[in-house]
Amino acid sequence: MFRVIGSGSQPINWKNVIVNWPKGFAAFIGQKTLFKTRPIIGFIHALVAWGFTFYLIVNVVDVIYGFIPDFHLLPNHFIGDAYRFFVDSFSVLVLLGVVYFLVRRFIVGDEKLATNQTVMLSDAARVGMRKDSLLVGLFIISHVGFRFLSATFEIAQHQADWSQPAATLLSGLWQNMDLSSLVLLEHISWWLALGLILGFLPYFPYSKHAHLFMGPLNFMVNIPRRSMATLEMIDFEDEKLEQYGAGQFHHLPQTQLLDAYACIQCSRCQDACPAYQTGKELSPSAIEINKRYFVNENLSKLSDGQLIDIPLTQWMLSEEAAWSCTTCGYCVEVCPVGNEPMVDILRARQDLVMMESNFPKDAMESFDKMENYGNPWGLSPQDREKWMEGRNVPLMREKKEADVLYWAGCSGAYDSRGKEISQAVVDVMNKAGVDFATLGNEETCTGDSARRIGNEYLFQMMATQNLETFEQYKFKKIVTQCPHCFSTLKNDYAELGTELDVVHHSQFIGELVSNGKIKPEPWMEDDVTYHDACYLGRHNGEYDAPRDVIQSIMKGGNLVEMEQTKEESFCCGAGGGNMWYEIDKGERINKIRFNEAASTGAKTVATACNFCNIMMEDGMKVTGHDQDMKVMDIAEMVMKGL
Amino acid sequence: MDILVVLEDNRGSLHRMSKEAIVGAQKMGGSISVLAIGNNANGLANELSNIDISEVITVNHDLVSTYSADGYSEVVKQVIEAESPSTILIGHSYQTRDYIPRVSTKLDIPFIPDIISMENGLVKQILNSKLNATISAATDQKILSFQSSAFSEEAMMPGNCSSRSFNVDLDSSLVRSESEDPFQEAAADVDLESAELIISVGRGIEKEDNIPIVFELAKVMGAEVGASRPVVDSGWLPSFRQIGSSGQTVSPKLYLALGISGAIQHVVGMKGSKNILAINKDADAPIFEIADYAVIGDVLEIIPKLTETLKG
Amino acid sequence: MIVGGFPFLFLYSPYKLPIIFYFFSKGIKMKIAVLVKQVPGSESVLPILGDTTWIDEAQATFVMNPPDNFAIEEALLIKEKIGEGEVVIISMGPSRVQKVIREGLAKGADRGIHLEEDGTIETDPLSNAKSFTSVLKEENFDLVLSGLQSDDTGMGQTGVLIGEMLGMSTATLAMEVEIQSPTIRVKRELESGWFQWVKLKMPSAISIQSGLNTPRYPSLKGIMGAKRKEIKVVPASDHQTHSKSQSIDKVFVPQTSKQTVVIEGDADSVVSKIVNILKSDIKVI
Repeated sequence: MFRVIGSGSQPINWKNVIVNWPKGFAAFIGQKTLFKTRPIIGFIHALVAWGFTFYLIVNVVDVIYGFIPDFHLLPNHFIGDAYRFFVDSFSVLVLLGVVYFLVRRFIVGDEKLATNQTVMLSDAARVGMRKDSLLVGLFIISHVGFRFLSATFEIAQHQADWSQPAATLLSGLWQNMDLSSLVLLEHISWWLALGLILGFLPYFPYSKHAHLFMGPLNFMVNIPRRSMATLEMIDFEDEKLEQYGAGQFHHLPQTQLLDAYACIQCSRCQDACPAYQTGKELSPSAIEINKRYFVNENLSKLSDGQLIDIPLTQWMLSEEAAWSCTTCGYCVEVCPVGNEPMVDILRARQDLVMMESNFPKDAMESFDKMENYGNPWGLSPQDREKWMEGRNVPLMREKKEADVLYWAGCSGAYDSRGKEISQAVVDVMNKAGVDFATLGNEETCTGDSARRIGNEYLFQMMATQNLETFEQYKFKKIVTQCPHCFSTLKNDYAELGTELDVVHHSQFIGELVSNGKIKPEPWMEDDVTYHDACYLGRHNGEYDAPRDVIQSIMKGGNLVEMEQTKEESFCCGAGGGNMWYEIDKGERINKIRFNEAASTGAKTVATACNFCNIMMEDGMKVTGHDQDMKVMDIAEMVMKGL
Repeated sequence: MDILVVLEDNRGSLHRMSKEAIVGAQKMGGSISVLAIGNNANGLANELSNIDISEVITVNHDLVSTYSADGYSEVVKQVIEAESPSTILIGHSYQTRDYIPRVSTKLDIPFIPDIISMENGLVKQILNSKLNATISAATDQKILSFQSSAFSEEAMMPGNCSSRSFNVDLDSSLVRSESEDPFQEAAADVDLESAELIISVGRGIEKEDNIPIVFELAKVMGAEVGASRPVVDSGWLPSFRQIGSSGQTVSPKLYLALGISGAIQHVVGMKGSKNILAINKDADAPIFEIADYAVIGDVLEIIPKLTETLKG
Repeated sequence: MIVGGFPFLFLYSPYKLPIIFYFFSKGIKMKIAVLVKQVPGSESVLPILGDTTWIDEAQATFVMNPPDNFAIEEALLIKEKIGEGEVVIISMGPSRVQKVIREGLAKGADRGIHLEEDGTIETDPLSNAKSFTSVLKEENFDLVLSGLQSDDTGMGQTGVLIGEMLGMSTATLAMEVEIQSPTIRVKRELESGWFQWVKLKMPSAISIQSGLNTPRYPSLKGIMGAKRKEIKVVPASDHQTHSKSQSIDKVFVPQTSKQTVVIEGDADSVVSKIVNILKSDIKVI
């Protein structure tokens, strides 16, 4: 297995295991990652997992018991009794848990465990997943079951042992058996229980059960990222670099190959993947499962170091699937074993864009527009200052230095709603007496869209330009209108070598309110629901600042939450370049999300991101709510109270 | 002669742009000769027998019985050399683009194309029609072509004229091309990108049931139908009709925006239109910022009446 | 015997296969020139110079002339189909035009030629054609492709002028191109939805209509590789003729710029006003 992982690119720094072992250990024991979604299932799994871990000790003791007759761990001592109690309880819990899971998968047929037929998922996988689950389930039931039975037979030979209540109860069944049969049955059960482990071992590398080790290992060796979509920088100056992004198996970074082994095929990542839930060809779980089955099928070749020449788009994810991703990060957020399907998609996109030149035509036009005009709409750079007309907005090229640099971004300068939001932010800053300035038409696109679509080269070009502009002026902090700009300037530009102090306008306004610099009058009488922006929330962990800002202007109404909120928020659909091209399949993502917002009963949907604002407003029109509902940016809400 | 107008045959009759060029010549004043080439030269000459020009010159040679760039350019060159007009006029058609530059080279005289007006010098549009330029020739002899509708054929002055044939000296090795018969292609998918007239519908149409009235109007006007994103999102029209940043980019002669607000995702797809007429209930709709004609009214009332009026 | 012996030698020589291929391949190696122009972008500001002779180029945003993109793509497609050939990108202008030449090289062209201008802005197509011809004639191109017209002056004739000067056959508005060496078959677009196929003897100068193909986006390898490809620079003095047969005297903003005409009123009066506009102003009915 490790040779297979070793065939990938970007070698794992195994020394990190020594440094990070607490992470892996905590993940394993705490089982915290399982509770993020599907908490009940997570709890039952926790019981099974703890039981299984405990069984490590049990197996050792049992082996000793096999060699030393009548060996019992600390008999007649309360620790030994406690031990036996735990063994007994966990045996029952594990058995019940696994039976529950098998029933759920095979009899009830929970659809969350399956993947749509539109998604490219190898037939071997579709069949194999079920087979694997069945085998693993049966293995556990058999191993634990026979061990449990062995205990019952042992008790039946001697006397009731109430530190093992369940076993004792069951041993009542064998009361009338003769001693030699009991001994025989006890030995058979013992052999079966331990023998099954040996039998299972060769199957282990092919089974999802490998997650036992690979999951915690994943947490230990995962490359720390500043934010979910911030991939490692590609050095274009490096003449030796021949491959950009991932087009084939061995181009995938080793941590991504480890992901395939860690994947437990639970498909939590599908639950709120905006592409999957609207019928597109993309499923993050299919990506990981396809990888796993690819590895399984080619195990001998891969561990021999052979390179397999099949493009990823033929077995891992289809081209359309790659473009359907909105980079919302849900799959990364909820994965219990620390997988990053989104990183696979981004690496695949890099190959498709930079090596194959094979990507949606509209995206190509956006690239040309970004390159020629500095914004994805292809509007004149001179028009970037139109939103400032009639307002007191100091320009950086005149002021030369200021405390705060307000970054309007392309949406904030060109989009009609974006301009209104920029105006609101600037009005708030003026009311608070903030010393700020803006770059006006010296701003050029941060390159976020280019980077997420996979055009790393264009992104670095835009970034270099902006960094050069920044050098000319002095400022302490950048406040952005848009979360995409926020995340890119803060995280991706830092990877290029320049750390900038960047905050989003919701955070900045939040600070102003809590410092008393502005005191907005509460005015909102109706309920409001807040739609978490992916690049503010999941990507950068900011869920509270926008909510605090909204609360500051609430008068009669309440801030109500949608069901899929905060870390589980459902994307508006504009990220990952999807603002600039259309994947025409299934439902429109924004319509689904808007319906969810409307179902809370709130009359106003609050947003913190221009793209979300555009998507929600479109969603509002499409669902026929444009007369009875409104979409407002939080800056606008604050301004109304000042 | 002062002016030589070169005619174009449009599948058996005189091309509209040739008539417009004659009007231009009449406005310029001076003696006007008109050149007809090909196996229908006499037919074209007959169409002009009642027009106020000096004469029609016909060239009917085997090698130029049908159009070829090689043949026509050589004929025009020889006629110009023989007759020495100071100005050669022609309509700016696809055929003109194909062979007149050859004449320009052969005689080393300038070809000033696509002229929209002669009021204060020769005016041509430049830079995507954003600016105009006044152009002058450095030579005495020049070739000018007029943009479609720069002049109106209705302004052609009647009179009478004579006609004569002209003998050209053509070598059989002259024509290096073989043309097949022209054909029309079946209108496959809707091609918004090359459509000249587009009627586009937005949320102001209110219901899917109202969409047919838009198609009625389109049929009467000979226009294609486009849509803004919300209409496509609602499933009222298929996505190939979507115009905007994640849809088609169009630049028709007329863009009729019905009930479209004018959000930027839509506008970037159509602002290259030469004329924009927008109808919307909301006087503050952003579409009015880029429209040439802003009609503030209810599309549901206006469209049916417009269709009726145009039908009659 | 020598004469008679030759066919024998040919037929029975073990070298006959290479000889056949030599003649075969010689027939289908294509040398294609693509003329490209760098023009102000459709969204660029266009401030007019004080003396109104042209726009202030220092403030404009320049891009590859969009129709030329289709010509480059067509040239690359032809080369790929034939299998062997050379695509040369040629542009005239100040040093900034090297950017569009590099774009062509990044997409897959083999080399570029930059005709320098001496600072004056030449708008006369005849003069420009003479410049290009002086450089093209020694190269013996099979095909000279150009976009239909340029987005700046829009004269739409330079390709055909050059064709005539080089003694090539010419065709314009090509919607499809088929190479059947030594002829080329071109589907020309005619007005009102009509088309016509024309067969020409090469060498030919063809102007390409927009929309006949989908221009590719250069791959990163292409962009990197373009930096190493050759661009030959031809100094202005070597080619500029300044034979100005025509020139632009003045550039100005059209009188009828965007003045929104507002129309209100009851439906009937609005409709009659609209009909009037459609008929007389816009002239579409």
